[in-house]
Amino acid sequence: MIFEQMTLTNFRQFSGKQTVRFASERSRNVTVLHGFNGSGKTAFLNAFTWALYNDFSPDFEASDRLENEAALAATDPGDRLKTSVELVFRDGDRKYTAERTIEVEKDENGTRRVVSPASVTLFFVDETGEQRSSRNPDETLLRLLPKRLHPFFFFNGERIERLARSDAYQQIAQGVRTLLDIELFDRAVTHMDGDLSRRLRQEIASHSGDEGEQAQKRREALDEEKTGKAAEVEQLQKNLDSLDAERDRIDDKLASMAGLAALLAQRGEAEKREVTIKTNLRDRRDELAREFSGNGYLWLAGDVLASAKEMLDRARQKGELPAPIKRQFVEDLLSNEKCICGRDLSPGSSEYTTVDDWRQHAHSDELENVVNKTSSETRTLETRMEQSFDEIDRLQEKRDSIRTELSQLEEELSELSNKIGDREHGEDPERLERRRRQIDDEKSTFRLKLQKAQDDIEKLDEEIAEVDRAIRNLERADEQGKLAQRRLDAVANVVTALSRIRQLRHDELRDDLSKQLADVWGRIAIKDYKARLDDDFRLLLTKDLGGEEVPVRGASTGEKQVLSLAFVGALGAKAQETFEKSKDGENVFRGGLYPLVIDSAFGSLEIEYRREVARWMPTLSPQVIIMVSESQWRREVEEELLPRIGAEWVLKLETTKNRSRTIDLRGTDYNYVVESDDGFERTTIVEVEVD
Amino acid sequence: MMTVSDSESDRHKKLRAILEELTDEEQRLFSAVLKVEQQKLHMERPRHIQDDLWKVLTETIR
Repeated sequence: MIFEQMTLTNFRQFSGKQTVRFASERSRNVTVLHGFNGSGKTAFLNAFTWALYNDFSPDFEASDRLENEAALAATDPGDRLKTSVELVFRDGDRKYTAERTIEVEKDENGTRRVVSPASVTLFFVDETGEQRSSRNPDETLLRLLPKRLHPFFFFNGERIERLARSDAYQQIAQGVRTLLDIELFDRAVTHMDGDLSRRLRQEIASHSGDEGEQAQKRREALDEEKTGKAAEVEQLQKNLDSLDAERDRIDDKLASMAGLAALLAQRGEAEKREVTIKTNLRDRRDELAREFSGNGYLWLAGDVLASAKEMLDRARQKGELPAPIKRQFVEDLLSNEKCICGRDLSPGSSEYTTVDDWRQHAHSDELENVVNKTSSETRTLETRMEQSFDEIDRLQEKRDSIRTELSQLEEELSELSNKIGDREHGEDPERLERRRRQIDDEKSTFRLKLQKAQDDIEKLDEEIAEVDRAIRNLERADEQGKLAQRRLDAVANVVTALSRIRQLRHDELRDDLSKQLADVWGRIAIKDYKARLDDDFRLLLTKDLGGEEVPVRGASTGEKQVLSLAFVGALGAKAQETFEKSKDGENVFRGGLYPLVIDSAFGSLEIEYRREVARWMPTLSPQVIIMVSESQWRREVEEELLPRIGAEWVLKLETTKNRSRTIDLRGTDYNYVVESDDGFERTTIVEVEVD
Repeated sequence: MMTVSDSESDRHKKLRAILEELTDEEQRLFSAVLKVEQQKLHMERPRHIQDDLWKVLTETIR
């Protein structure tokens, strides 16, 4: 989606009908709107979200009164006033015009009332060049730019750092899922594996007699149980996220308190060691598990090995081993009917019977080999058994030593927590530290519950798979039942393919977005931090501490803003890359082109960040529309953005006070704030001449 | 740069391999299902999606 122009009619500060054209050329894709505080920059951002979604940003006040005050005052009693936002944009080969309108009426007493609530029309020019209207405009608009994506593309730069908060990862993951086609696959799997498969199983069951019905009942019961467990997991995860976020906030507050710096640094170090020790402990536990599963059978084989050894020793003592004579040798004599002493061995003769008796005492080569091999392997197995016992002892000792280390560290952490929360530092640290300890306790409880619920789900999944196999193979199914079985097989195979492709895409996105994020951050950041996305799509800033990567605590608002912007940029770039590739028809993913509309684009960034962000911002998206105040439009921003600006506007504010001033843009003074001549505040949009 | 394009090519191969494991009938079902889902992706609760999927399933696997 690329915006061409927007026309505001009596919308908030903007009286009358005013049109803004947006830049969309690749090399000059930036549109800048300059505005004094209160001139309507936030209203302008909200004009987009109102037109597209009938929605507003949280900082947009009095959203139930959209009409311009001066225009309403000029409306005669009994007359109506129309407020609208018309947005012209392109999506693919089509050009759309969306217009959302609301009408208010002023009654005889001058009271305002809404006579026609907000509604939208949508026209588009189709492939034949004919203009047509959409029968369901709201739905079409949502399809073109899903509403859940708007926080990523229409936002206030001063609040964008929220994406770097630890509780924002679900919103980020949702954005990635929607924007980059994972949701498409998730939904397909859910629908195919859910209701569609259920319907097919019912059909098979109802065409397979009692056996089918019983299997279906069992399946439904398992489904119900799993739904309950899944809801439990979701809730526990939310609880943990919310505790993490609260703990982060406490850490931020503690970090800002005087006198705690040294203790907090010690704790940071100790917590880092705690993570390492716990990882070591898990590794040892895994090693023990591997030793148990790899060589555990040897410990049970002790008696068997001893008994085999005893039998072989006894046979050797009796002279049965090794065999005094080979069976093949005896059989050759009997077959040739000649003994080595020269006597004839005719079958039935006493000589033949005597030699034949030896066959009973003779062993075959094969048996001899087995006996020899068993003797040798018994010794090997005994050696391996002893080695395994030694290894288990070693691992258990190591584990015990790590446990002791962990226990000492926990005492150290507890001691530090007492010191941080000591009343000598005041009531706030004491209260915050007490809550931090409670949070850690609560997290341990939730984690245990979460693990248990996840294990239960795993077991349920195994049972479900078993019942599904049974239903798919019910032999008593009639012809219709067999067709349903075939369809269920096809659905299961397609679901498997969808899930595997979804996983491929997920891994690709995590890797690519993380790499791009790290790249952008590396170019902009002043500090030697690293940025990345973890497996759950959490935005992370880390730093190197003695060769180990640890999370940065208490990153500044500016750093979080840059990190969040870098993420939005990576997201848009990946969507664009996918979109370009989808044109060759081979790709199952679609991606898309998304504009970026940012109010207070440079937030509270330091000079160094502002320059870098300004240089990089035009590359974030095929179209960038930014609203800035004079204080944000600094020299370094202007220098970097100027070559990329395709359209530039001033929101000229008329105020009731005489505080007139101008703004210098491209060497020309433009009226920025002027005195109103009718007692009403309003904003006029003035075009800046761009080369 | 080489690594990136190699990795992309690997991904593409893996994707093709997954699709080629499906029968022709199942591949048609796969494409039809994605098309149906795509049309209603913008809806929080896609109306009649099960009917749409049932239709493509019964038309594809006869």
